[in-house]
Amino acid sequence: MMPAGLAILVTGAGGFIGKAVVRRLLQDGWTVRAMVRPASAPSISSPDRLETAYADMRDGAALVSAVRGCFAVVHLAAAKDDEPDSEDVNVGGARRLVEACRAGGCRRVINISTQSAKIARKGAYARTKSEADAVFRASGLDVTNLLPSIVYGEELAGVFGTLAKLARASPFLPVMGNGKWLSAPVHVEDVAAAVLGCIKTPATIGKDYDIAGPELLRFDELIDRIAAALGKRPPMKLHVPLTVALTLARLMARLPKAPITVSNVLGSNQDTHIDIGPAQTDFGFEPRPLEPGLRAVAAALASRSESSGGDESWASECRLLCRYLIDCEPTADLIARYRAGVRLKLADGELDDADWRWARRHPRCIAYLDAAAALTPRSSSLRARLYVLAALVETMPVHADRFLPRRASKTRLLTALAWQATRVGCKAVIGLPMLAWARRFA
Amino acid sequence: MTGSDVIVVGSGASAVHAAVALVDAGLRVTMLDVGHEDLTYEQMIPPASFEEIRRTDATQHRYFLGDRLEGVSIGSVGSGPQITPPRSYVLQDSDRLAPKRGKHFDALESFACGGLGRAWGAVAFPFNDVELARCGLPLTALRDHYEAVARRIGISGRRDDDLQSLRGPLAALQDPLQLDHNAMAILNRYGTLREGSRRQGFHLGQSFLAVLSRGLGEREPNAYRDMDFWSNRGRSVYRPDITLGELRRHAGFAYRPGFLVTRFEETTDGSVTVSGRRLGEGTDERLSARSLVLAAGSLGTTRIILRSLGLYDHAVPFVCNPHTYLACLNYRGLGTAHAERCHSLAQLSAFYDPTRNGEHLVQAQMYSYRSLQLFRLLTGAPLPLREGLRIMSLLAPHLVIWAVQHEDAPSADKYCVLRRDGGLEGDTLEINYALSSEERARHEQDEKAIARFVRRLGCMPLNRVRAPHGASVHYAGQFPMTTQDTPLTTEPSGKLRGTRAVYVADGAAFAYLPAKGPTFTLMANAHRIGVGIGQSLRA
Repeated sequence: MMPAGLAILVTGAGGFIGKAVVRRLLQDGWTVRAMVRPASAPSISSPDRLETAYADMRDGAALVSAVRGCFAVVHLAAAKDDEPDSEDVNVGGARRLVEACRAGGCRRVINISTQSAKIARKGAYARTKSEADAVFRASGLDVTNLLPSIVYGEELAGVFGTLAKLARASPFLPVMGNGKWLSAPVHVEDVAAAVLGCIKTPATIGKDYDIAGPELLRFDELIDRIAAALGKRPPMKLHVPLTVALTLARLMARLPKAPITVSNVLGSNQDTHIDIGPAQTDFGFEPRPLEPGLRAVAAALASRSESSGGDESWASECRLLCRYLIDCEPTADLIARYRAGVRLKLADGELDDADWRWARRHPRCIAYLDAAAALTPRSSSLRARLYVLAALVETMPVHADRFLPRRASKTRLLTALAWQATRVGCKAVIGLPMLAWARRFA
Repeated sequence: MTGSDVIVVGSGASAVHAAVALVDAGLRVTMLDVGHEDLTYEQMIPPASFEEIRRTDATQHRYFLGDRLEGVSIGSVGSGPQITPPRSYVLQDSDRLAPKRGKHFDALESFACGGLGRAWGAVAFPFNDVELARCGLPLTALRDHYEAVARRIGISGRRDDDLQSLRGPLAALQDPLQLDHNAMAILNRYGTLREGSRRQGFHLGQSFLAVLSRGLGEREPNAYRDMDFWSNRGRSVYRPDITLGELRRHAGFAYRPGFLVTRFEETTDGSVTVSGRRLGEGTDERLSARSLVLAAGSLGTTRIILRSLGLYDHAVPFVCNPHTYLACLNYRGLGTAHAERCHSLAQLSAFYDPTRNGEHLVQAQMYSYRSLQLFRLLTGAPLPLREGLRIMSLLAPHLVIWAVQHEDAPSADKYCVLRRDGGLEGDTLEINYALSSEERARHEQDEKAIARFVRRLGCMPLNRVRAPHGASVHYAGQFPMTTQDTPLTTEPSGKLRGTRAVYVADGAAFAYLPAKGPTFTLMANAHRIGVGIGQSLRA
């Protein structure tokens, strides 16, 4: 029997696979400690059984405290883009994590590796991941290594995300290499199920498993299948010869955020032998077929981008208020933070009132309603939302100069003050009857 | 552990300085404490100035606003405005571990490592002789301890200014810190009005601050980054955990965090037994020692004493400094350049001596409003947010806050009672606090006088906010120190009357609070009590 009530640590919990694993473990009733880097934004809705640990794979002491009290670790955190510190994060990180497990008495490790750890000619990512696998195998801990093929899901991440975005946007698509590379795409939820399966099956200790979908197909074919699922015609593929592709990737490595890396190119040009038989036998791994999987993903993406009330309405409301407050369009990040902020700071009863309904219906009135509501003692959903947004905007570096002290002569300063005061007065004069009307009838 | 000579309860300003004296006397000391720490925010704050961080750090919203936006308050401003998100751990768990209630009183207690001292404003006042006498503190003995504590923690200030006669003497001083542009302008203006002001009882000078102007041990001088409300990199601002760090290097000292002390008992073999709960495991534990020093903060100490003696429904006196904030515009400075390099703590202290004999001082300290965000100024301001932000960004460099403090003496309407209901230990501390109409009238009068004074100094008062009772966090008076043999008081040695070896080393033994932050005096008095216990145990 598994020890009950102890937590499972998930490193890289903020990532594409990490989020699915956390969700799956929580669903199954486990307590999960989600480890993210100290600079990551926190998860907003957190059930009781979800804790957050802030640690970086380069910080041994932080790892020790993250592991403390956990009985198993699912290791997903990795430097994936051939960054200069890949060695330190992936291999050094594996060593530190092993040390932390020993220090904390945590024996069970599910290490998520990659198919490309098996290829002959490796980029920094593949090389460091395969070295990390060796570190785990030699650690003496109860380790299971999982080697997934291409992972797909509703979030457009990784190789699949790049392909889907390109297939959606463009009628032709550059392919690094000859397009004959074989992979077996697996749904992210199936990867999460595999992780859970290993945790529940002690017989998986000390073994490596390929985690892949049931269907093996060539790269060009995969592109066509993705396009078809998205309702697009098969894009024209521009095959870039391997040597040219590698040169390109090496040049791009100098960019701060390279769209393609040496590991990507090498990884998508060397076939590996993929066998999911052991996973099926040992812990009942049952990956979903590709066709319905891709179609479900496409349907989810479509419904999200169209109406899907929630997201779009938050975005439009944030845009409206942001334009009023600082004459700027909000970034996606700000919209997300605004949405979380309003949920945190406004009680259910404050979310909707006459002021806010009127402001939503007549966006041009926001300035006048704000000026008028400021003069009345009654709490106002519009004011509260603006206040949350003001706090968020003020802590964004791009807007810092609007708020930090500026040098101005006394005359200019007094003129500016007088101008602002006049605006306040005029808006209040127009706004007060408007507000009275709104509060009476809206 | 093979037992210790003395158990110290708490790790705040009083506790650590009592422990220093005990360890110096060669005694084995165990410190019991809950000991919360900030594990999230402080490590994220880069070593840069406020402006630099505002312009460059993309993660600043996390520590400026808090992950749950705890730094954003819509509506009224509650107590503890200095409790920024990176300091929120200071108040963590206090409602659960220390249940209390009070009509019109917001009490703050801390279970942090370093206690409320972790959020201290660092203004260090030696009390003058009149004030010490009213507190019940042995004045001649205390002066040496002020010096000993000042040497240990590092206090910077100007000795020979206009506050000298009212402040109380202190020899161990570092050079004064740099003043910011608002403070310079105000002090210059005072220079021209000095004689007239003094005749009317107004005195102005630079605050003594427990902030380093030059290095001390491993601590660095203040870097003038204007980040002192958010982080304490280089540890230039004194916090009790600094002394705790030094103590932990002594072989005779043991720090046990995660321990909530609930009661004590004196046994027939002459020792004191302390009972408490290990919070991690939820198990109860008892420890014995020859002496016990209570320094859990005056409310915590009161709870422990009343519970141990079984004194439920029994009123003990209570005092607390009333606070009022005057937000002012330093209009004479409008349009002048602002200093980039400055610290965020109190710049100036003003004394108003209404009786002209130093016996009933009113004190106000001046802060510049800079390293907080503008949106905080707009809660409750009658301005639309768009224009409000622009107006505040123009005014903010010249906004100053005068924090006015009043003295507080005991009265029948100010008391604490332990009630036998609710709470983790089956009881709740009830705090009753009401000012008499004479006190309210005097505060009103004194605040008007201070407002007149700051107006003459070029500060136009924009808004006056009476902080809710309790917001000053200066609590005292429950077991006053006196030479008279009355029950539930403490002897001049700090010993609780009726016990053999239980000492009160925090504010609970101060009979009165002058209008000066008590923290520095708490430390000096705790040190004095520690030295005394050391002498009696070794004898």
